[in-house]
Amino acid sequence: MTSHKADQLTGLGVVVQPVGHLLGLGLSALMIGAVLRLYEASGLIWVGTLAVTLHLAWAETAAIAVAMVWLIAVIWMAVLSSAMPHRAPMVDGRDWAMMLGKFWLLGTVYTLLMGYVGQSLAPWRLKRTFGFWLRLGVAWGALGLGATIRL
Amino acid sequence: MAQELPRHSNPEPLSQSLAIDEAVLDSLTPEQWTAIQKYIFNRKGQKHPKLVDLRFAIDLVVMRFYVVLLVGQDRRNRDRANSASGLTKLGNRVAAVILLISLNIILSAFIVLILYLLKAALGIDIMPGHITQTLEQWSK
Repeated sequence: MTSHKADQLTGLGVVVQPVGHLLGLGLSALMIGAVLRLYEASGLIWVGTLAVTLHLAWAETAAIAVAMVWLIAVIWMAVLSSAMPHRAPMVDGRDWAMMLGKFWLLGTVYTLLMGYVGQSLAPWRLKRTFGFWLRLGVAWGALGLGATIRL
Repeated sequence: MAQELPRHSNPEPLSQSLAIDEAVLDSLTPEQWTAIQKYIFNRKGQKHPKLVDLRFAIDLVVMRFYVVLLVGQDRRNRDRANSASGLTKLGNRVAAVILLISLNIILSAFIVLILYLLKAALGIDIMPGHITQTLEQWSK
């Protein structure tokens, strides 16, 4: 299926689609990193997120189910601990819930982009190991960069 | 509609899949052999679209599973050639129950979370305080 998709892409599409996918992945990872910093996420959540990203980079779509379960667990942890950005505590419960909902959506988008980026990169015919390091490098790099952003 | 039969220069693959002795196959006349091929081709060639045809893999790092969910009109034979029995059947049932419970827990966590966040976003207060306070009160 991947090779068939690769054959369909010609000309500019061979460059635009994979680059666009990588840019989207980098941007979403950047935002995730910034959000984790904003909420002063614990080391456990950071390690778990990095591990899930590593798993997604390696197993691609087969790792999406596990990543979704991790995402639900993180949002549940945020709900049960009434997680709130320390710099801008929200009094209104509605804003708090909507923010968590948006972060859940962001996490879902990130997971799907990470899971399917390998298929988008298929036209480049990269070696499996190189493709893995590229995906992981972009995601981890952007997560780390995002963690330096002060929202 | 006339369908072109697949050409089998050597009946070996079919003899294996049909589990028929080669001596018996050799004794078949070309007409009999063609009739058998036609029957098998027609059986295999009929493809009916499924209502649900979901196939995906789940990688759990140490093990990789595949999940297939098919839902469609039942046109299968009632007889099962390889039905499990004894311990295998019990093992299958236990695995299916564990899988369904796990799936149920995950789906429930997903649905309850969505409903809770929606309720909070809409400003609906069913009980005073945060969910953790309510849970603490219930546990006492």
